[in-house]
Amino acid sequence: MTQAHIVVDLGFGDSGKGTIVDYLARTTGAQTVVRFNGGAQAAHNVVTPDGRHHTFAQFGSGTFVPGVHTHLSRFMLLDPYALVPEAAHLAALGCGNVFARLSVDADALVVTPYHKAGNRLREHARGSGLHGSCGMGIGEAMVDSIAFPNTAIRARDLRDPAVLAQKLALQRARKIDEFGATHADDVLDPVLAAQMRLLADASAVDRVACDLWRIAQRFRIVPASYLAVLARSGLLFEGAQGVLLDEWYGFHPYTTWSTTTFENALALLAEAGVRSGIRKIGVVRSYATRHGAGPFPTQDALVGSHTAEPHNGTGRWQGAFRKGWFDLVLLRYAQQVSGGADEIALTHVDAATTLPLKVAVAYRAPAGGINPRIGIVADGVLTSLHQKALLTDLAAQERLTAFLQTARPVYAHVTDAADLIRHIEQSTAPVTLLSHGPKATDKRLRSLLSIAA
Amino acid sequence: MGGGSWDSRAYDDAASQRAASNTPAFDYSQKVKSGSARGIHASLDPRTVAGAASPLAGQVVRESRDSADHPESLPVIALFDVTGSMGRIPQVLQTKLTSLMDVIVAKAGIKDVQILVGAIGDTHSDDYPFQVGQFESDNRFDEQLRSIILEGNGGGQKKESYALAYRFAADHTATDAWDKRGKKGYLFSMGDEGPWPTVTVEEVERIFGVKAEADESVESLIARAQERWEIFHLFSMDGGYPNDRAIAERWQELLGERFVKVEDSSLICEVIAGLIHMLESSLDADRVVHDMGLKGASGTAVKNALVPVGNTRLPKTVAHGSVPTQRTPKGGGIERI
Repeated sequence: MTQAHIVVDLGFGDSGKGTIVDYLARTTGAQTVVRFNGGAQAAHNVVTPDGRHHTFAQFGSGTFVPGVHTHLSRFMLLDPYALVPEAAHLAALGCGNVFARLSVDADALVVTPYHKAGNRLREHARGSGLHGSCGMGIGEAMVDSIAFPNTAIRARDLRDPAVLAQKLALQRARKIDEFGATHADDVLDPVLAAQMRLLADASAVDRVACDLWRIAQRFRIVPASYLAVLARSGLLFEGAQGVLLDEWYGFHPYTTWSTTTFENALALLAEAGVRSGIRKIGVVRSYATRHGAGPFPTQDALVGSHTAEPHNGTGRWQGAFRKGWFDLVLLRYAQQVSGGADEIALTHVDAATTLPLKVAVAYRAPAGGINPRIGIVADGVLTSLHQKALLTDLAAQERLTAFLQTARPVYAHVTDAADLIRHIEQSTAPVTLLSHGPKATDKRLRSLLSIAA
Repeated sequence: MGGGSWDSRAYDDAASQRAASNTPAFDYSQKVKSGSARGIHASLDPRTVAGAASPLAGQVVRESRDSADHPESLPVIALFDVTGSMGRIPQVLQTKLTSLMDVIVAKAGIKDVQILVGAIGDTHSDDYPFQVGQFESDNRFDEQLRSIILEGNGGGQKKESYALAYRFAADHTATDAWDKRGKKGYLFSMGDEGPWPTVTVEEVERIFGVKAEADESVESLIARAQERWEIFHLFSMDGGYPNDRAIAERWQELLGERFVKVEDSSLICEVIAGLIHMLESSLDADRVVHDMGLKGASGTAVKNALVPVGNTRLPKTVAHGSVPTQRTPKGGGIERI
């Protein structure tokens, strides 16, 4: 019996994980969606069969299904402020009090307005060197928690306003040390000026502490052992972002502060005593996408002109939404470094009918030869990238980044969706789920018969 | 991914929340003592009547109701002694009880718990001998907890007005758990002294703002409250009278094995969650403490509190010749076995 599904994006994100989680919540009977990476920067769009649309950021994408809970594990970064408008929007769509269906691990790291201020002021100072940050303070909170552990706020602290105020005051002092030289009046940009004003206002510490404490009153803060209780009624693990943005396996420095592979979910399941009945589902789009800066070998404006994107816009902090051709080299890499999906959910299958489809099957080897540590070269083309030996070796990832930024793909034309699926299955795992649109009713299970054929 | 879809409005929403509830009440007790605030906090006044939306509108009653998100509400009342003999314990309890909801949900596995907190003093010496909040399905009871005035009086007679808790439970509560499912709630009082023998007509009028027909004995109040509530008294061994035999014997006479000795008041949430888990699951104390993941000194302390209750629970009922009852899990009243 399947006790847990893990849904992970095998690309750069935006593959449609939310719609897959919503579909699984409706069809598997699992009662809890578990977030196991990232934070409130996630934007998982789900449209219900009756046309209601919500962009899930912290609440699980199964929330439209009555009674389905959300559990934010210790690997998730909690943004209490952002919970409030998200819950209000869900309430407007008829999802009553979603806070009543929310539990947060006591060890989860909390993102505060001081992290966001630091994040935004830093991105601004960096100017043109944007690396695709969302401006949500996720990386800032992670870096600070490592560099200054005594200032890090964990979910457990949300029950104690005195502790909150104390730690927030320390966070404020850190940020003033770093950014204090500029005055709000000297900054023309209204968003940045607001960040400066927040830092300048000493009384804001108590207000923020009170806000965080009060927002946290509405959900449960539980020890890690609670997941074992939730596991009895089925778990859906909802990944955020994509394997190609992984903090260790992504293309440094264009990565996220989060492990985006199956690893965290598997660790949580092991702790909860779930050892069997785990299905690892990799989600891919029928063409490639990427938010923000960073290598994207198959980028092509032609793809964008043939595909609509109602829910993905240009973020102030992360740059434009980019599109390109399906990339089998990167898919093979993602499948390898993520530990391997058992099956694939293919989304935006409808694009196969509107797009003159082609897929990248390899990259042309550069004239000057190629560093053998990058990948395997045969007949003048590179078909797969090497997985580095040492997890924390970021120099290896920088080499990959440099290579990918100039890589020239070798394309194969595909005739239709079935042809694309054959390519995907040769590189990864059986394609078991096809998504033709954002609603659960747009999903089609591929029968084992058709997989065999 | 990518976006922060719910960020831009977040501050505004928080600001409007702030405007609605104004400044926090972290130090209400301090404010009363320093004179900058006066009287029992509005959220804790026992005389508050049910609102217009309630079927019991106008009555002095606290309601625990089911909702779509909490379809099987289980009410839990936690009232603690705030008199002088308790020393620093009221502050400890006020801090620790903050996580009562989280601990009951996580450790006892009760999803739809509703918590009401309050404080018991002494009608003979305190200005505010009974402060009581509302049933809350989330941690908003924390706000009420922090508004409790810790008077720290008490007359040194080793007696407090605990019987007000039973008057309250018997006459001033309404629960869907009982009305719809025949399910009793839980009432925990915490303290280190014995109860005054009666609640007088005058006290009922002064504290609850209603007329009682006659003075009522604590025995009678407990008997009436027990019709709808599982009643426990948690005796603080770190309070003023850990070895006072008269106090212990009096409680044992009133509540039997449900007079529970708590060695360490800071484990109050774990003891409460453990007792609820034990009654809801019919497991023994060893298994309950194991289930709750408690180890070391805290595990031992909680087990010591639980063992007497677990040991005597079933045999006592049988020995007294009454028929043990078992409720069906999905409502439908009472089923005899």
